[in-house]
Amino acid sequence: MSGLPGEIVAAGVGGLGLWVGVAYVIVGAVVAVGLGRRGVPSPTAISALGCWPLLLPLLSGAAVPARSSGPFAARIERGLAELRETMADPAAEDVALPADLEGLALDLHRADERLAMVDRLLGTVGDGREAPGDPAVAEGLIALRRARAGAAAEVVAVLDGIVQLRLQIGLRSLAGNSVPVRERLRDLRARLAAVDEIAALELCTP
Amino acid sequence: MSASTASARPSLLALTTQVLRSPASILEGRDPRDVLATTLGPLLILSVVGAAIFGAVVGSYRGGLQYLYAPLKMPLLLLVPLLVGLPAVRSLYRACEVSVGHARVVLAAVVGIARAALLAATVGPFLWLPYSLDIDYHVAVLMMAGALLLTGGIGVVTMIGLLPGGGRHRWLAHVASLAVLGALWAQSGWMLRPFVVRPSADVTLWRPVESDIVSGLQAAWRSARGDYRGWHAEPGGLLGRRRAAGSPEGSR
Repeated sequence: MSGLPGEIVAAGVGGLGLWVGVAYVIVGAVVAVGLGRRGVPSPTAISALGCWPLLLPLLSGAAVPARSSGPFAARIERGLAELRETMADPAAEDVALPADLEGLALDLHRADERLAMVDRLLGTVGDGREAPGDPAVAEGLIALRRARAGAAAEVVAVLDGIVQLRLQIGLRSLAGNSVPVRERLRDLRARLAAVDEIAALELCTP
Repeated sequence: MSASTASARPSLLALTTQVLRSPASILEGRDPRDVLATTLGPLLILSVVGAAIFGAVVGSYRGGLQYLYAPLKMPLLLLVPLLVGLPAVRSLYRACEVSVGHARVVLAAVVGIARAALLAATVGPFLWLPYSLDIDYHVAVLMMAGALLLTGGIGVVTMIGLLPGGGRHRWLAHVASLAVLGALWAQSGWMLRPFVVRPSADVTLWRPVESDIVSGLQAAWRSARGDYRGWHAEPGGLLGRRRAAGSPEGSR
């Protein structure tokens, strides 16, 4: 065998090199498929064929949180980034990044997406230019606005909770108090989950 | 992934500017996993293109097939040590009480490599001119090594700058990581040689695996002192095997 392919095969340290190469590409293909299913952009997923060890962080933990486009998107991004930064600071010893943080990020973005959808709905149906003739529609609008206000208040409260958590981590680094980060994040997630139940209750109540 | 995230993906040109002018802005205030998902592909493209341009310049010293071989191997020289060594680097940082996530380490390293590759491409013309003037082979090798050390050093400094600050043993982690990656880069260079081919030698994609960089350096040290015995490094270790009779030699 001559030429470039022959050189590559000849330098493959016998059969072992060939088999290692084949196994590497197969693992890369599996990682690429896994990344594609988790919503990672195609160029990055395809690059897993050659560089899959670099992409393993994207396979662990929750799916890559999709950035929402709702009214709180920027504030959510900023709040979460600041919390990650605080938790990753070497001065905040023993505060590891728990998987719950990714879960909380997903929940916040989902809540924000729902708020954006409701805003679009209210913008088209109840934009105030003309009062709805049907009393049932008017009542529905009032209920939706009330539920929207409640959900937005809960999202704001969770974002404030994230700021409080950062302050507690800072206090811990000085005073040595223990900070149950995982429990706090679970509380915040539970608070977001409760938004759905409250909204459902309000919409069902005449 | 939402459309908004896809639209947040920077163009290659914009990313090149960011990598060269303000690499920290790539990560600023964003989740490293999100940045990794959107920018790893483009960063790898920049790394491969930059390294391939530098490889083409290095290959121009010998010309012919080396115009193809060197650009193929130069990206491997930059990227293979990362694939092998980053888990160890992350472990070293964690052992030194620097809390850093896997995604952050990967991003910092890839941005550093992309910057080094782009800078190596820009250094290319400064090598091309002397290479085209038929300079001595050893000078050509030294110039290539100097360019790689310069641009690689900037890449390493960039990588360190993108990792979290603070921590009592941070500098120990930096030094240990540099030692691990440096050894891997040196051995990768040894395995992937030749890059600059001696004018009298045949052009080959790569030479047979023979021992490691340390034994090669020992042989070079002996030769420098006038002792030419044992110049051919003895095969050894898992990958060591005997050189085929009549195979090309004398190139780096």
